[in-house]
Amino acid sequence: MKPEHRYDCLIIGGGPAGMTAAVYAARAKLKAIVLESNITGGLVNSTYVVENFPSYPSIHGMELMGRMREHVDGLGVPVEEVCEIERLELAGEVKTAETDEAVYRAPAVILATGRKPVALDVPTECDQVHHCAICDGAPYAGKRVLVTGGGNSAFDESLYLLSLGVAHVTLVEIMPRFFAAAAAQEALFASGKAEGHTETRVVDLETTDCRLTAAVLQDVASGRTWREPVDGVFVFLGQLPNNALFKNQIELTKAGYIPAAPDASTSLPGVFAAGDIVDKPFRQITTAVADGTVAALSAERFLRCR
Amino acid sequence: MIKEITQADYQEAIAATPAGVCIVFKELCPHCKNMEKVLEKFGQLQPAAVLLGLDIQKNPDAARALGAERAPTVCVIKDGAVRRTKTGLMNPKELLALYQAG
Repeated sequence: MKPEHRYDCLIIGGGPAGMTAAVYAARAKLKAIVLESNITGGLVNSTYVVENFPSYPSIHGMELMGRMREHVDGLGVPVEEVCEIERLELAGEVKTAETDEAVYRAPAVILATGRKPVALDVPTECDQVHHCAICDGAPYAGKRVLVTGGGNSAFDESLYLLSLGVAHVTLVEIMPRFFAAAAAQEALFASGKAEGHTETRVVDLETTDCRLTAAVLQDVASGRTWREPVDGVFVFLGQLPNNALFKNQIELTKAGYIPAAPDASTSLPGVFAAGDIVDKPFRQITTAVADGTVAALSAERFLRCR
Repeated sequence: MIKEITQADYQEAIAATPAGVCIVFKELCPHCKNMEKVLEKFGQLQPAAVLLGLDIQKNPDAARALGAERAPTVCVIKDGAVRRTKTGLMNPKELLALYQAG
């Protein structure tokens, strides 16, 4: 029999949205808990440098989220990390989250589950395909890598890989142009160690003795394929919503995001949404923080007025 | 509680471990932080298991000797020797299965 715990508010997800919701919930005297399947910090943890969060002109992503964690800890909000939620029931007056270790119940839930990286869709699997340059970039010093994607993450991480001593970066984007900030594009290509290919996709990987030796690339317009010798691949193809826990319980958009109201409420009473899981045009740390604020204040109002 | 080992003492520490797990980690690596939490939960499931940690950046030769090229890599130790290694994320149940298989 798993132990059962009662709270005012369950916060599902410990990224910037969830952690900010925890701060506001604590200050509203709500008994809240953060349940996080990974470690707190969300995708920000994998960001080498954050330069658009007011008050920190430049800060490592993990350091920023470490400070948010200290703030939440200082307010006494419990945080359960590496916490696998096996069942989430959102209907009814009392919501339930059952993890591998305990059952949590509360009349209000804030969904802040965020997004996860899109995987590289190729038939050959190998260990040299990565989604985090900070985690996995160091062994590629002096080697050649392929970076997939043409957004800010792809360019920022490519620059980071070069700073680690990576010899050459080949960057491929399936669309007709790169979408990263102009400054990042200029910096990368000015390095003389990077080349970019638009309208290009990765169709397969070649390995020898289970080690990556090359990527097979294709020009999508002409259909021409060629072999690009590389030692590693870093994938930055965008994100998908983390909605598996509740996709059959609340209203979602076709793309799988939560169409939250301006007060963060969802199609179910007592269920609020915040952060990257919300259907919205911009997904930044600052927008997630704002969402978390609104969700916690709305949850407090919901609990007070019910 | 994870005891940090170094190039200077890793051989001795592993040789003295009847059963345990060593995580090869890196500073400011989110997956490594995740695996440290996994190791803590694993330690609650297996209180007799010795938990060790080795920083791959400070101790590259020792990491290589343990078969760890990347972080996080988990090394399962039985009878004073590394029996299995696995790189990447896993949950406490998966780590327990790896440990019991080793």
